[in-house]
Amino acid sequence: MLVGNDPWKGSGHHNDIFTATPAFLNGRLIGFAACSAHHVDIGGRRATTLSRDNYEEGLRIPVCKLYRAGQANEDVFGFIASNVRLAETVLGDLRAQCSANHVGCDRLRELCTERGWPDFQPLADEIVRRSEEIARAEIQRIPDGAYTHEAPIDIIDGERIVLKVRVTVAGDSLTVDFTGSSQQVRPAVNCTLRYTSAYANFAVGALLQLPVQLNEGSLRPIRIIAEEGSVLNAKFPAPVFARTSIGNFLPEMIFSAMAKAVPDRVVAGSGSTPLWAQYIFGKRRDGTQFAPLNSANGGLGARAHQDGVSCLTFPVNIGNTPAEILESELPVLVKCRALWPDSAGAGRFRGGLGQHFEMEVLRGELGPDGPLLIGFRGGRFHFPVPGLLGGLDGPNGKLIINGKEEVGGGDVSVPPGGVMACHIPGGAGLGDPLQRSRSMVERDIEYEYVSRAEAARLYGYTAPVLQEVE
Amino acid sequence: MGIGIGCDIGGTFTDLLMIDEASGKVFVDKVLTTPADPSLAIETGLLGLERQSPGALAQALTLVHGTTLVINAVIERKGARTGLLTTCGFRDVLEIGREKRYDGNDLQITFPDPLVPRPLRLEVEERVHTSGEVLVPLDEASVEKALRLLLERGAQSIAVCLLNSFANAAHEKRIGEIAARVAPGIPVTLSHEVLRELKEYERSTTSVVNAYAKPVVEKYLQKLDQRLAQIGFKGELLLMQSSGGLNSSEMARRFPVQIIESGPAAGAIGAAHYARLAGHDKVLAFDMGGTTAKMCLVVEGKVARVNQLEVDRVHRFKRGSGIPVRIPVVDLTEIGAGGGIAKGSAKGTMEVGPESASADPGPVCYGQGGTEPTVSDADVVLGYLNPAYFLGGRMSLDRAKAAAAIETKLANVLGLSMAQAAWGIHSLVNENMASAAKVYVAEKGESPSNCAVVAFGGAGPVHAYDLARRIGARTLIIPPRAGVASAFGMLIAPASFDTVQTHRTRLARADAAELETLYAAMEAEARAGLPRGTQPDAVWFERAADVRYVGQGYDIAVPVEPAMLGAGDGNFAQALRAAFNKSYFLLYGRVFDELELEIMNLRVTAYAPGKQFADEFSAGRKAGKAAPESTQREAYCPIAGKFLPHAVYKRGDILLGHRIVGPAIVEEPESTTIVGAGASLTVDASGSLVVQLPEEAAARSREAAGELDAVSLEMLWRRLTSSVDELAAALVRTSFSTVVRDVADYACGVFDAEGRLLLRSTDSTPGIAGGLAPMLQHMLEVVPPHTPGRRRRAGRQ
Repeated sequence: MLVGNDPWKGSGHHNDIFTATPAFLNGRLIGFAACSAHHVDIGGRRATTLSRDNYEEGLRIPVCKLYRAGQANEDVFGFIASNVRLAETVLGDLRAQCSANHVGCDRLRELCTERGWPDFQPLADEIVRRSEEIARAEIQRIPDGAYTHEAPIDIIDGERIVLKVRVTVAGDSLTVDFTGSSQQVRPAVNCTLRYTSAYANFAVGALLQLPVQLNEGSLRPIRIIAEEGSVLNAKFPAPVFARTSIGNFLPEMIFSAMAKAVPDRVVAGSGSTPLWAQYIFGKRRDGTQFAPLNSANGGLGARAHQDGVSCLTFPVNIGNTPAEILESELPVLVKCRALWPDSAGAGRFRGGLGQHFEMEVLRGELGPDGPLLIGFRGGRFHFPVPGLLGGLDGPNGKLIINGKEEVGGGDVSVPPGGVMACHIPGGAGLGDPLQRSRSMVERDIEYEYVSRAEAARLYGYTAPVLQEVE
Repeated sequence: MGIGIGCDIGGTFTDLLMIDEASGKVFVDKVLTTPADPSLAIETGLLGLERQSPGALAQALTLVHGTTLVINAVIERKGARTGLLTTCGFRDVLEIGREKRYDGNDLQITFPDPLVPRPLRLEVEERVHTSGEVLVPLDEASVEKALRLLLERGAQSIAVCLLNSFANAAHEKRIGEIAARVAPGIPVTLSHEVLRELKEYERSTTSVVNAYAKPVVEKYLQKLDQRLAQIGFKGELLLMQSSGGLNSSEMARRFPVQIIESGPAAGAIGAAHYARLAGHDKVLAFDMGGTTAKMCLVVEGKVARVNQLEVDRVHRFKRGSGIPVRIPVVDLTEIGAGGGIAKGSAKGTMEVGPESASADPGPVCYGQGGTEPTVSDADVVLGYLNPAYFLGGRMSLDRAKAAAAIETKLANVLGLSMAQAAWGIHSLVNENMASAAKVYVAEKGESPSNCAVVAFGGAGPVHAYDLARRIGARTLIIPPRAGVASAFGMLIAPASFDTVQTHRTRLARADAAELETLYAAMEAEARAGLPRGTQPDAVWFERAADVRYVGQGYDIAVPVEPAMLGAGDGNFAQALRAAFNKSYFLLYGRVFDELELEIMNLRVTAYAPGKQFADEFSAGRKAGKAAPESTQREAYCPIAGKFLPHAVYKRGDILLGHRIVGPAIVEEPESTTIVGAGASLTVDASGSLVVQLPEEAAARSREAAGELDAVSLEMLWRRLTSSVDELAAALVRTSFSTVVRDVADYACGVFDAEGRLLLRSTDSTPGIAGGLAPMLQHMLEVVPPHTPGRRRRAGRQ
């Protein structure tokens, strides 16, 4: 059983530890089972964007044998244990990965035994061949051409981060080229090429609506390119921990580029991109400490035939924590979790609504011992959520801590009585708002999703004049 | 001794079953369901029973009733116009939900509309802390104002769900009082009465479903009461709750959400009853009909229960795409779509389902205009169903038409013989159900090979043999009167009432005396919730606590024995940990003794024994002859890979002492049982057919050795998919951190010998999943495999 976590070979940061187990049948190698999980800690500095290089970001595990012929390699376990906080949990999860791989290998062996096969290569060949055929056939349906998009997504360390994408469809193959995107940056938000490829492939796969999964075959016709040294193909030892801050935007970039080619399949910009979350550190009055992650999400972008969904995580998949759970775990009070009216980009179909989430640190007996240290993640502080095909933008995000507007990224001390308010944007619109069905505009007004003033301004909606009936 | 009647309303038929304990006689009636007024079919059926046994109706003690009324009201959006009052700042909780995508790859994702639209969700000024402390007193003027506005907007029923009301319900109670004054005649549902448990979204949806269904259920039960009185029924009307227990019609009027899954649970209870009589304590109840196939694990007569279900899903088989309802419910899992439609897939393989043929026009063989081949069509073509004896001969099936459809739509297109295509449909639907069943049983910490399969429903006995073979079960039981299994189950179910109370405390600080006080109060409450006629000394209680490791997002229900609480604080903590370890180990295969435990919720269920109706089958009906009579027909044998003559028996002809060796077919009006080659069949003292499957090797079918055709490729592709999903399930089950379990930030994959990625787990995180293949390639470059096998070639980067 092999283990490793190199961000440049796997998924872009150290927390994801990969394990792979070969499956043997009668001494013959028949396949592999592999899995990777995000571990709660990997040593180094805690969850932060402040690391100056990859070495500060914790334990780097080169490829080595975690088990040798079924025997645990205690040296490796020991190395990991002595370099991470919460070692019990980390090793527990690592062992879970090992036993999970065993289940996978058992299933592969059972399949061969049942069929009386020495291995399952003929089946694998067939799966790879047909998956490739299907992907190529789907790509062929997209009109040939080069589709481009360029957008600033954030200002980091005083620099504007611009992403640039060129999607070339030529017959039955598709290339996504990010050449021209911003250079890598000092804070730990850089993406390795592997991570960039992962999100780009995810977006292409979702657009193609493949009836098979992304695998060796279906990925063959897809190529991902990014310049070395750019923020999407950072050079070792760039710091990479919070790579979601940039990588989360890649599906939106690709959808925006492809909107003209496949308007029925794309999603306009989502207010929930990038992830809005807080790492909350503090001490209860009984001396115990806490360090949970809380997230709240903006709206999904509009689609060609329907509105976006209000308050829905995208493209990561992290839900909220119920207010009653938060309050029973932390000395805080959730003041509000509400739809944010007028926060969705207008369009023939509008974005899903964003969210107004507000939390207060309690005072006195119910409050914490000292202030909370909160690390804020969020985005769209500088550039709005982009609309598509005539749809309008969603608003900027707004983060107000202790009455002061902030832009996230750093750690802020919030004392008892302090309040943090997140206005997480709604999704952007798709298509001309003037073409929106009037009954849907009326519904939006009745439900107070959209104010009358905005309905008039954005949708050109004027209420029908009521006629006196004789 | 008395007369009891069970009555189950299904989509097509309303089934009634009456047992007269004095004579041991059983009477059955089946009438067409009357959707516009379901009580009409009940009346018709009861009058039918009365004709079979004159005078029975007036003497009957009990009528137990299962109904799909509430679930249908929710799915068809035919409930009351409902208003919702919430704490200031939280009116949108019902619409915001949990913010997660149930399908990571679906860009067209949608969710069900909330049952209460935004204009009918209003806020009141108040705030209670999680400790129960009032931070902002209730502003009664804001309550009155909101109630008046709801009335103005046409609310016919009102739900109230305030934040932290599980800890202090005073404000909700006060709103109930104000509503009685301001909105007299409008039913009110207070969330703490429905579910005294934390998590505001789930408490809201559950309370709202209750409020939404209240007027519907009230109206229906009034009508039913009238009809029952008119035809002279003087006994007690009980309703089957989703939990598998019975309760009074008054309770159903107050808490209609409790009868949302009213009917389906009863079948499992009936099945378990017969399995116990046949000497089996671990049972998989398997119910297959035209549009659904369900499974439920029953251990020692106890039906598996969970504390949540999901209704009104956007995608039938996708968890998270519906509305959560937190009530105790029999854990019936849907393992298939029943009689699905078979078609060619984009992969060039054959797929069955999930679309099923609706009743109209139905399968091709019904001859009502259906054109797409279905599971039923395959079953008739394979010789399993008798075209002249379907529903006991009430309907004839067109075998030639079914064969022609399979030939032209599948066999010709996919390059298969007719028999291959028909067996392909039958075996694919079974394989799909088998893989879902294996995951379901594994999640419960059990193994299917230790379980007996009990099959019922119209199609259950037709598919059960091959299903049992695929999951490795050795015994198959077909209870008598499998077509009215639910109506029977209702009759023997216990009465029950469930309570829950959130009481969040670390185990180390738990006060046993305080817990004992809480449990005692909950027992009193649960006892009061049982039907009025309950014998007080027959009542028993089950206590449980939802416990988890501190920091984990999942809790498990741990049984709490009263003796554990009497043992003093330190010993209580020890005893509860031991009980937790036992349950946790069964589910996840490991425990963490160094980690702290936390109690989340306390639960108490009060039970009163069900009626013990004994029926006539226990009277000995010994075989007179050496072998029952049989006819013969050609049916497909998967082991031989061709059609062979099968002996065909009438179920009634098989008596105690007979032993039949497969291949064989047993027919009865409601269903047909297939017995594979080499299996043996007997009938037991209670009338169940008991089939023993042969050794695994002998039962292996020809499909195992064949070439990769359109059927086997589909089957094996799916097998690999479920292998990697099992890998993922194992990771989630045995991992510790919330990142893996709650946030699901992981990915799993299977690769071939060359290191080529074939499949990833369905719910993989894209960012991690994309790293699987390149990381494996990197690993194999660093540590090349040095074993025989096909040489690895460079995969893609």
